[in-house]
Amino acid sequence: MPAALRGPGELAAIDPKARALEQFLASIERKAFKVAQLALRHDDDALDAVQDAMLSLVTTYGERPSEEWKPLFYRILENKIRDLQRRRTVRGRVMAWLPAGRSAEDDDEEWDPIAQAASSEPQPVMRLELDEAIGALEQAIAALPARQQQAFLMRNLEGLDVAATAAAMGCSEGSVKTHYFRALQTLRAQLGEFWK
Amino acid sequence: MSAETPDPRDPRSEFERRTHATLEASVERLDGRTRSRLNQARQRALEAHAARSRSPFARLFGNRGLFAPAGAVAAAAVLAVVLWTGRPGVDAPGVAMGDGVAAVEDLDLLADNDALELTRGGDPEFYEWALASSEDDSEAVGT
Repeated sequence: MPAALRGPGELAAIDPKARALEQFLASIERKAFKVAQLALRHDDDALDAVQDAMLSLVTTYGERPSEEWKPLFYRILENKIRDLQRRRTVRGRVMAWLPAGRSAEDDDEEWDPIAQAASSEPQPVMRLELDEAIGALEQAIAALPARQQQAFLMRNLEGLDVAATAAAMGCSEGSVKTHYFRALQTLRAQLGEFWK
Repeated sequence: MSAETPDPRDPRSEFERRTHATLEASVERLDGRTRSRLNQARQRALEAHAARSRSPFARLFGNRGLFAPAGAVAAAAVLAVVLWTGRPGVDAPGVAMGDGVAAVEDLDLLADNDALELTRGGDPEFYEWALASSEDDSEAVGT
């Protein structure tokens, strides 16, 4: 079968580089989405940012050594997140000048009765406790300053070391340590009672 | 929330371990729609990679970054050719610079009715003398 007729899945089965890329993307996509979701607080925007970052990584840096992919991917993702936040700020300023009515965001959001329906699975006490813990932690992380939030999520959630986090954030290792330390301080102060 | 028994080799604090475990649980509980869309995004990215792998340029150069200097060199070469061929006298290949200027002067002569009259009815010897003296003057100025 000629290469031109192969799909991405089939190519990944033959091309070792494509297979490595697929494994890498599959390993980081959910955490990357969580990072984008906490920064943007909007699921669709977060998905867009992750998709754009995946495309940029594969088309621009796919030939680089696989050890470099993770910091590069998160560097790209952070840039996409900043772009979306800037665009949202501009859109907000424009919308403020328009007459009151339905916002563009309202138009994008279609009410989905299936998505809104309560889950039928039982909610044990442990699950409720976890729900509360996740809610409190995510709320506190979302309220952190952007650089502290990045440092915390890359170090704590993604497990990047200080050097890789510095590469992803485009700053010095000292800055990463400072941002991470301040994030921990803030989160401890906010969640201290909750986590006892 | 119950915490697991800490690993003594783990340099993280209890608080860091708890936040990590909570965030991991949050990631594991992403809904099916989000997981499906992430999977689609990954397939699109791999399709882009496959398309690049099929491209003969990608096979030759490998990295897109190599195209930027190659493009700049090509653009500079095109610009140099355009500037060179745009110079007067180079339009007609094989014609010397002096002949090219003479051809332009002939065109001016044909376009100017007064000048044409002078060539028909004037004193040829006078014009030869005037031309020779003007050439002498221009040589004197050029030195």
